[in-house]
Amino acid sequence: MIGRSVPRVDAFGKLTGTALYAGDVSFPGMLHLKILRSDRPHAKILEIRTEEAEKHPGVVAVFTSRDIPGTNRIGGEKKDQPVLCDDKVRFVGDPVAMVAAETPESAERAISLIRVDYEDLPGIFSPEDALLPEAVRIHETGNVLVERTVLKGDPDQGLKDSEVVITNTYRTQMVEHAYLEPEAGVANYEEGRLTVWMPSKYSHADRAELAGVLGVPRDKVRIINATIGGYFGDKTSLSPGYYAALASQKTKRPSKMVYTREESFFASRKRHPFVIHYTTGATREGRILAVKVEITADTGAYAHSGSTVLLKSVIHAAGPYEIPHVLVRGRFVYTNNPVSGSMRGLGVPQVAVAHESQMDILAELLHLDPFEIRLKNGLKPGSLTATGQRLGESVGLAETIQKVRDEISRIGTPGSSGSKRYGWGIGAMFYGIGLVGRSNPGITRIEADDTGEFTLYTGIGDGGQGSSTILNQIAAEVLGCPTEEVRLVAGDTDCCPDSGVAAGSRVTYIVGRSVQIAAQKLKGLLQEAAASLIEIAPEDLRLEEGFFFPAEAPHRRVSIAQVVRRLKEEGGAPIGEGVFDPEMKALDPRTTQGHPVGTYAFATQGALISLDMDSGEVQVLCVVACHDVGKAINPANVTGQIEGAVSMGLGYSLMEEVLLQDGVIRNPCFSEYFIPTSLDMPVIYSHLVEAAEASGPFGAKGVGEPALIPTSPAILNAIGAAAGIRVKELPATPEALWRRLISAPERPIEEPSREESI
Amino acid sequence: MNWVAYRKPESIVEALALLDEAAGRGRVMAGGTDLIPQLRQREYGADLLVDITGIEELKHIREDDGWIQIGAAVTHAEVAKNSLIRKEARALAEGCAQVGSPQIRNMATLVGNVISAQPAADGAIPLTALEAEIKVASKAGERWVSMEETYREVGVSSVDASRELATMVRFKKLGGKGQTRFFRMCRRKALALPILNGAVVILLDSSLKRIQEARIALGPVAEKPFRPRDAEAYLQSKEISPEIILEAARIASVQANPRTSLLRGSDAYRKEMIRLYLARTIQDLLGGR
Amino acid sequence: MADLKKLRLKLNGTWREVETRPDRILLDLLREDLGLTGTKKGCERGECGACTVIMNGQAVLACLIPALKADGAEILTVEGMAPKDRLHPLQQAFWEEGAVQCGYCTPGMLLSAKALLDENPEPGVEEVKKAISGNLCRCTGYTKIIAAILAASDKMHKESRMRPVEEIEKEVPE
Repeated sequence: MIGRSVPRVDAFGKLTGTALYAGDVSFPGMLHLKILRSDRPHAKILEIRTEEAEKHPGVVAVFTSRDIPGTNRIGGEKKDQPVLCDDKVRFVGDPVAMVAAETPESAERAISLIRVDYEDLPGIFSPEDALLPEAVRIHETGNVLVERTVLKGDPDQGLKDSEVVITNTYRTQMVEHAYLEPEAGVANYEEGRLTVWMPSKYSHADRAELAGVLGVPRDKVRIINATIGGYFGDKTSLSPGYYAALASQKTKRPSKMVYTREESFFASRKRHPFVIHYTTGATREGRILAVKVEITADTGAYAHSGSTVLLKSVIHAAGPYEIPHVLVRGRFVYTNNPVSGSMRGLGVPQVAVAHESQMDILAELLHLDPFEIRLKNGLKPGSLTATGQRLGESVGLAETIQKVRDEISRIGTPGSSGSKRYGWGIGAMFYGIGLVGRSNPGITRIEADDTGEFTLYTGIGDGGQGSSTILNQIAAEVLGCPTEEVRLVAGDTDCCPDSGVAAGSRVTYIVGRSVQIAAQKLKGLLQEAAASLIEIAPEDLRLEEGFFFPAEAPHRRVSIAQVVRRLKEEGGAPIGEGVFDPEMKALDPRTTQGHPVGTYAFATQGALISLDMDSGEVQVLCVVACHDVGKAINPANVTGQIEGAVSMGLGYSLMEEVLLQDGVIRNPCFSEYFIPTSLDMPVIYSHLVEAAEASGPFGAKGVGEPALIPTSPAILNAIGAAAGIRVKELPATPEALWRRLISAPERPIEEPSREESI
Repeated sequence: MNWVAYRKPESIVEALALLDEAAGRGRVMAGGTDLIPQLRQREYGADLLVDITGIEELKHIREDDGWIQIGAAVTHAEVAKNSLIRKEARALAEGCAQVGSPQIRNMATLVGNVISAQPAADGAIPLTALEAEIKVASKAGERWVSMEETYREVGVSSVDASRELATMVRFKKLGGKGQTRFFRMCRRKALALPILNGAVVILLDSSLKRIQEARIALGPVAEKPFRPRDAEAYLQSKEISPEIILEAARIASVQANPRTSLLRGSDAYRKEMIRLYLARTIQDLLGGR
Repeated sequence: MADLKKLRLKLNGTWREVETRPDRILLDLLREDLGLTGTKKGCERGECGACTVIMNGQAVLACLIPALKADGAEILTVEGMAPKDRLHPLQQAFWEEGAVQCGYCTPGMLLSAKALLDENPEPGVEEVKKAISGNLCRCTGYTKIIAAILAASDKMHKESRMRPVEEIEKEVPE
């Protein structure tokens, strides 16, 4: 099972249109819900008048903050976000009221009848403005959400010792998750309990949060993961399922809410835009001695997962390099812009743009090639990271760099033709697998039944990345059966254990390991029972294709079904539970020194681009990707993740941007927010390196987010190689490149001076 | 209700009668790809939709007495793959082939593209360079309206879809010495409105070394597809050379005078891209003579 | 409130008569009134392709089509691509090639692909890319989807019959 590209276990329903996403779920007598959202970025709510709306035909109930039975503040890290605004609205799109009606049309008409009296407050649209002493406070606690520092060694001394120092400022833009499935949720109230169908990357957390909002004990709420149409880090916390539950609780009727695409743009969380000041000091031979990094990010109106993203950003800001002196300071700041939260990579795609550009700038200055300088400084087994963690054996970075170098040689670079220049650029990365610096166990339960089949219970709903298939494969491998004989129940809070969140690419490594442990325990139990059935020592038994048999006497086999019955007769339960919490050492609050995660994934990607020197238009022609995944449990799954991530990285570097004007998203639709189409995609060559992680299931680590991180840096560096211009602001639109091209002077390579800003 | 009634007449006469009955609250509909989102977003309202895609006489593409005619029910997909159009009006086939997406091209009609009155409509831009005319039928009879005249303001056609029905578009066949090209600049390769598009029609004299007539249409730089007449006048009677191509493109970019837009870019960039793309297109069309 | 109107359409091979409001959109008719939720709602503006169905042999966007426009038409949705418990060669190829991740774009992709293969049984890579250029996908990067469509066209050329799921499952490569 392991290492085989087994087809996805949930593909059949998706292919035949029978899989149910939350928006597909319906009940007779269901109410339709619509939200009235703030049309202004920052204002006090003086009064909300709902009488007209309540009288509208078809309307069953109108909700404001007064109708929230429990607490009106949610947030995974800091409970600062209202379900329905009470005192203030803090961004355009902040939910103010909700209508429950018999039809979507009457709900929509009623929304337009609600009158809200606002007292406008000054709007703050940049961290710089938010940090001014006279800036109005968006939250009572002040406009800085969170700050964090990584300190290793003596960076000032390190820079003094450096023979070359370069400093540059990088800016990345706000982007949208843009999963194809708009958020949706359906709730049903029965016998004092609420059941909610919703896509969620963490059902148990949503249940706890929702129960708090509803003012009921957790066991009165059940969250069932419908089929999920992509999450990429979002689809958690405040979402239609919460509102549906509120409405069902009050009206006792089933309720449904589906965001429109435009609403999804406003209401869902974004990727934090970063401003990164980056200073790198190195010897003339290219050995990096010190980095100093300052990160300022616009976290938007509410905290959401800002702390997590900041922590991950500062930990990875130095890049996949062994650097003796590191100072990283990060600060996330509230504004009245849409909320930024968790998006694939959690701040690491942003810092990777910076550290990989610095590497190429340095390489050019020192007459080293981009591969040389990375191999010289790259993390190896036993290296010390920026947080002082000693890496184990599973460090495949060098292999990925070398593989990409070989591939680029093989493929070659086209010569200039007409106005087109071509160039290859590379980007390297590392990424800590799992939640950072805190316990985040995966918990799994596997049960065997009388028919000899297994059921795997996991809290993680598959968002499309294939987690269900991977977990299934791991279980099937240990239990010696085909994947079809392992049934998966995922994301149902009534029967699935809390396996933690689908984030930090942790599912394969952490939850997968717990699956392996659970399966091993169950196998052990069954093996004992089989041994007593066959009357042989358990160690002498093998398990293959649903049968236990003695190695020397295969004909004396017993089926799992028989063994289960035997186990039950003996008073045992055919259940295996597995828990895995990666080893980590708590992080020093002042310097962030410690062991943030149990393992890291490594990767390098190369991108070949063409640049039209007259128009600034870039085509990405080819991407070679080499990823150290520890062990590819399902190779097709891994390459599928890489290919999808390349498209996301292409969009990130070249065409995606949430355009904001005074807090309003000006392009909240797919015709004006550009994600790549099939015609925009390059040829992709994917290669896998398997530097086995001893603590992972069969050596596996993770790939979901790592797949994305090197792509944009590689494309930016390719632009540098093709045209000699250094892009420091995303997205690299044709106009932005054109401006650089028409103003760039001819630059001969000079002798590097002591300090250079390029 | 987004609309109250939907009808699909089988003849022009029936369509006009339905519109008349609706007394201004009816609306002609073809592919619906512009109209339906507009109605759902309440940009305006209509009581009756009159779907003209069932009318047989609107479904033709044909040549007639030196004119090429395309009926109002013909889709972009049909225009793009039609051999007569590809031969006689390449720019029109190219423009239609790049509208929206394959699905949109299967649904949306070329004439509808004109009636939607958008300055950068990929079908309307080549039709402008081809100096096409739209035939409009109403209670009062039939009339021909030039492409320029169909644009009242952005998004508003002079053809009143609540009272009249555009039945076809036609343009004069160019003949052997006529060549056309279309170009488009966009942020990604499908499902994207153009940052810039344009069509060039050039008629050569009998020596094939001199330009007899040039027509250029550009969008979106004005409220309607834009004809840079100074550039056209400049090219007239000129002998073909790389210099005249560059100069014509420069003149056109100055005359077009695009403005800074959040989604499309700054005025300086757009102006330069007009110059660049127009020069490249004319160069390509003239094939390095 | 306007009266309901009758509409007759050949849906997935069977003639059906339904009554609907005159301003019903085809996508909602399929999903809400006829219980066929396989066709997905991604944007309701014709900008993502998730609602692609085949109408009278052409790939179109159900979110932009008034339901009554489908009167007398032949419509194919994802549910009609193969009889129950069987897979159309395209569906089979998507499965084998790993072209399904979150699955939300999948029905639309399948219908766009089918429309292509119905018209052009042996497309090249560029033609396949163009045929699905109106179907956005955020998960797969399109690579395996394109591979699946090419694989299916290959297979369909050789043999065209529906196969039961169990048979296909047994053939999944070791």
